[in-house]
Amino acid sequence: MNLVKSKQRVADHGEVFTPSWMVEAILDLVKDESERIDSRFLEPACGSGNFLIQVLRRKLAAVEIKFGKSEFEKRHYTLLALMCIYGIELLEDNIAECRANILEIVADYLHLDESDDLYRAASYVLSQNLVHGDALTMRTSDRQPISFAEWGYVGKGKFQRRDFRFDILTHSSAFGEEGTLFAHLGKHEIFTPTKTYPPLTMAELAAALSAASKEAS
Amino acid sequence: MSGKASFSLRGRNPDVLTCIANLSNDEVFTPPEFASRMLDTLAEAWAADHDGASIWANSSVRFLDPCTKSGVFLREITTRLTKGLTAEIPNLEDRVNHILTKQVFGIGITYLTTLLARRSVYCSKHAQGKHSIAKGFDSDDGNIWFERTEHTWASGRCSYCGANQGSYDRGVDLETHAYAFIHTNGIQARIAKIFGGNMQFDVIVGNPPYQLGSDGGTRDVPIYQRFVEQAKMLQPRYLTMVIPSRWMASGLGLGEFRHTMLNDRRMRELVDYPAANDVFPGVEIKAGVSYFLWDAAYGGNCRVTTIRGGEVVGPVLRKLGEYDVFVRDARAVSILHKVLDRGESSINTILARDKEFGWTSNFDGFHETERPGDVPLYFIRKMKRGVGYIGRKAVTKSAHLIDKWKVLVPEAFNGGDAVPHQILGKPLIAPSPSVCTQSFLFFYVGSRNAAKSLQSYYATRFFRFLVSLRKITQHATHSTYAWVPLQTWNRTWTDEELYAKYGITRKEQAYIESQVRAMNLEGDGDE
Ligand SMILES: C[S@@+](CC[C@H](N)C(=O)[O-])C[C@H]1O[C@@H](n2cnc3c(N)ncnc32)[C@H](O)[C@@H]1O
Repeated sequence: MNLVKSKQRVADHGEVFTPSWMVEAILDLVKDESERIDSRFLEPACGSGNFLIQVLRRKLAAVEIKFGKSEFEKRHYTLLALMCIYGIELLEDNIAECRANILEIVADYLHLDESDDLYRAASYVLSQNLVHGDALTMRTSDRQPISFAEWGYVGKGKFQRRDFRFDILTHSSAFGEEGTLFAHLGKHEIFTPTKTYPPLTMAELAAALSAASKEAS
Repeated sequence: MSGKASFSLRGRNPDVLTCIANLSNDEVFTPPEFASRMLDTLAEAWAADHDGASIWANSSVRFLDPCTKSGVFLREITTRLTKGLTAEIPNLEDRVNHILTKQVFGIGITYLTTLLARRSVYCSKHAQGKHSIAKGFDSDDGNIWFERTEHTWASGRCSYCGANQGSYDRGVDLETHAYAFIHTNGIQARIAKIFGGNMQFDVIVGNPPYQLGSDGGTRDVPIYQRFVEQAKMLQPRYLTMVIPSRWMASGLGLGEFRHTMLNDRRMRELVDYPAANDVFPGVEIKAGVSYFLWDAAYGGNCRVTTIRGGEVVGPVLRKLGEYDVFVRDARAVSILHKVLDRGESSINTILARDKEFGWTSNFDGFHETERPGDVPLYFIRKMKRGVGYIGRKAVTKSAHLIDKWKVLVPEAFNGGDAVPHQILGKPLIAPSPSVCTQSFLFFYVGSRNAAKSLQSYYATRFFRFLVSLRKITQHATHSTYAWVPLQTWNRTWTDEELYAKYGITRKEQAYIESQVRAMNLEGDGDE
């Protein structure tokens, strides 16, 4: 693997890719989390996804062990694994590559083609979770505040979603910094998502992809 | 509404909570009387800390009972708040609703007691139930939460609570008695999750960009620290990133970041690659790179590993904040202790500051040939050392240092990543009187012999080794020399003599020699 795309990009964007042995060493430091299906991982300058790809691989290994026997569970927990992976990347080609790399892993794992609801739902989730934007100004490429979807699997094929603004989440340290438990709970005027959705099925998430692409065109 | 309105007024007589028997020996119910006394104590303490204010008249304090059983604490708290907030929220229904949705929280310990607690607090075992006195919940749990939590078995015991696997690993139908509150390493995260709080990232990982190209300047502006700081603000359970190692001892604008990182006891692992080439072949990152693990639930010394060209030192448990900069190689620490424990003054008490005479490196207001009243001016241009002349009157800064013997030392020395390293450029004795540009720092002494003695000290490995511990980039600034002790200038210093003086063992000497090359004072000193 080439760690550098071009000298100019190294100079302008600090773009140096992490070698895979180091990605593995780092993920081993958080081994338990990386092997848990629903632990949320954020990579704030994700490039083409060197870390996120390995995180997903580990999560899918966990899906296989736990739910390998049931097709329904396996599909839903695969989507959940994906829902727990987040990234932000400044350069458009990198983020597109990142989404494609991750989608490919899911498609390979479950032998999906593009017509499959799961493929389309996954693609939609990736469009939400992998953000083309600037992690420091916390704005998307079209200057909107970055927001993240918090997903959860409520069982029986349904997912819940709540959206949070990234800039507001970074203030969360005001909550629970010091003092007692009582004090912790006193400070968070920010416990509120910007949007809460009714529970969504995989098919509904797949439909959201078409809706989103229609909107965009 | 009338039935509900009477909630706070209803005399609980007899109080059902005084009547129930204990269900199991870890669900010892707190008698209401006792809970009441505890809450009085709390209210007194609050008043003492808040100019006599009543905690029960405060509509923003939040109460959590992290292992609620009968719900007695929450119920008593609710009763008191309902009374105390009368003035602030006159409408009873609004008031009770505010209290129950915004102020009173519990985590149940078993399914059954959770229902009991909800019954005590909401007057219904379902927060949205017909008889519930709380309106405005969107789930039947309200703010009293319970979810089956499993023990984490490790050799027969739960690694969180120590429960015996034999007695508590008993299948899905029975209660586990694994209290959610302690069966986690990240309690804040847990609380936030339980009560639908902020979105929580369990892990933040990555390799953030390292610097912003500075517009035309000579130095790049680091930005990786901003990614680290921001990630901490998100309060993840774990944070792990690859970043340049430069922050450990220097770096433009990284002082505060260094201080915070070194003193953050949540730093759990640090793996340091002094030669970036070991990680990113073909990419030069001065001072190397490292990755770290920051663990929100950790507090203590950090496991440090140093890896260079396949040689692994550590992990060694270290206190990162022992000094103002981080001594990267654990093998250096014992040597440093021996030197600093003697409490001698630092050689930087006779070392000039950056731009001591005020002239930058590209200063060219000097004469090629000497004119009357001139003093020699030492400079480095296009990597070559040179001497010009300048009128004594033109020296407006630090004029008292003109008439000193000086040992000039270049402000910058690179020399690549490989060890053993020369660390510093060759010194040069400048007789009194003399001045120099920013390209040099200088030590000042009173005589030629003292200058020669100091120069011999500078040339020792011992001297440059102590410098190397604080010199992480090519720049050797005033503070880089802080750990080099002052000597007397009456002899030619050698490593042997210094090793003997400071009790440096053979093994330590070998380490110094593996890091620092001998310096030959002969020959030219081009940079
Ligand atoms: C050092 S690379 C690391 C890429 C990837 N994490 C890896 O390890 O292979 C840094 C990445 O951050 C991106 N980047 C630079 N500034 C950024 C910013 N302000 N917000 C988000 N991404 C940024 C660059 O485009 C580049 O892809």
